[in-house]
Amino acid sequence: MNNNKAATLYAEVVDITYDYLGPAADRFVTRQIRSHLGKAPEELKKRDLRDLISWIKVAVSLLTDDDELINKYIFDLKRLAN
Amino acid sequence: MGTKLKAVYAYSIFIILYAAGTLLIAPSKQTLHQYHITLLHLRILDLTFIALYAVIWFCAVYGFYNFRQYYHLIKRTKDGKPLANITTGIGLLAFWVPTTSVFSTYTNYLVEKHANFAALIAISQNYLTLFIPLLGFIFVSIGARGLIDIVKQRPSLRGINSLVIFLVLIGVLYVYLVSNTHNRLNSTYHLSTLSILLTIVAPYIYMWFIGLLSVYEIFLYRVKSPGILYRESWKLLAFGLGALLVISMAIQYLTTVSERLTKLNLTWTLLVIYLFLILLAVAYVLIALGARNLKKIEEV
Repeated sequence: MNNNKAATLYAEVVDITYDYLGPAADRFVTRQIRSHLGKAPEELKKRDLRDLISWIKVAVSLLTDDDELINKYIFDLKRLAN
Repeated sequence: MGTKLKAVYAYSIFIILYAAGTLLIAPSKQTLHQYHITLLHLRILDLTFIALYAVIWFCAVYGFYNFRQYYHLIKRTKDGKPLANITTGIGLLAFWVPTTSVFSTYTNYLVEKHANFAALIAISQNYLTLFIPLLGFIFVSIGARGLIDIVKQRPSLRGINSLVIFLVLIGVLYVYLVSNTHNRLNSTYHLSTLSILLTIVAPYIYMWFIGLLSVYEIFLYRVKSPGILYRESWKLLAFGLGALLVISMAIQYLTTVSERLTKLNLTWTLLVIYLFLILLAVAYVLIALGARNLKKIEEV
């Protein structure tokens, strides 16, 4: 049951990321969770979201200088945390 | 040996060969006399060309290296197969200019020493300049078709028609210019008109067609793909490949008037050459930026 919830949360993060990184979204989110949170994607919990979003912000800032786009992406992710 | 090291070695070898061939071979007295310049002036100009080529080839090899790295990162996904072909195509396009420039530098020297080789060398230079990008664009087109199959999108009838009309116009104009090239039999091509049309003109027009179609298909893939940042990278790549095609067309058009170009004074000759080199640099920079961004998405 808990695993399903985590998988859903992970899928939601990927779903939002898909609009920004396309086919790379799944791999990108998995990488952030594994390398920065040190856990498997299916173990993602709601309380991990704050940290994950911070890391994603850092990572996306390396891909683009478009602050508006970064802020929109982060705003979309933050809605998941609330 | 790692890919990065191989790319650095290949790049260095081309630069050294080109610089050595340009600076160590004594220029013909005819060239100095034609442009009214001293040997020192010519060497300074040579150095500017070497510097420009060094920048252009760096961008070309850097773009290829990054795209190859990107392909290796995603080769097990559904995009992997088409990207394998595009990687090979970009590789051939990256080494097209260095290979033909180095080949021309040394073979032109050979012609000066042995005039009886002139025809053989002109023919081999023409075919080398044709076949490397032709093969490159064939690979790119196979890859581009694979990409649009993934997004289940086909070029529209209107799009294909516009492409064909454009190609017919530039193709007919190219045939006309080649057929009217002054001294084409014993200076520019060293082939009969029919041989030129069948073995040079037709493959070029074919290359331009598959090249433009590939650019269109990559653009369609970009439009239909999700991901703002992902799409942006493919846009840069499509523009870069498109710019390379435009340069290839312009070079062929200019080749047909090369006899007249030799009558230009030094300022105009340099202006034309620098303009081409700058355009070439822009094309490779766009490809390099697109490839680098795609790789970065998979790395951060």
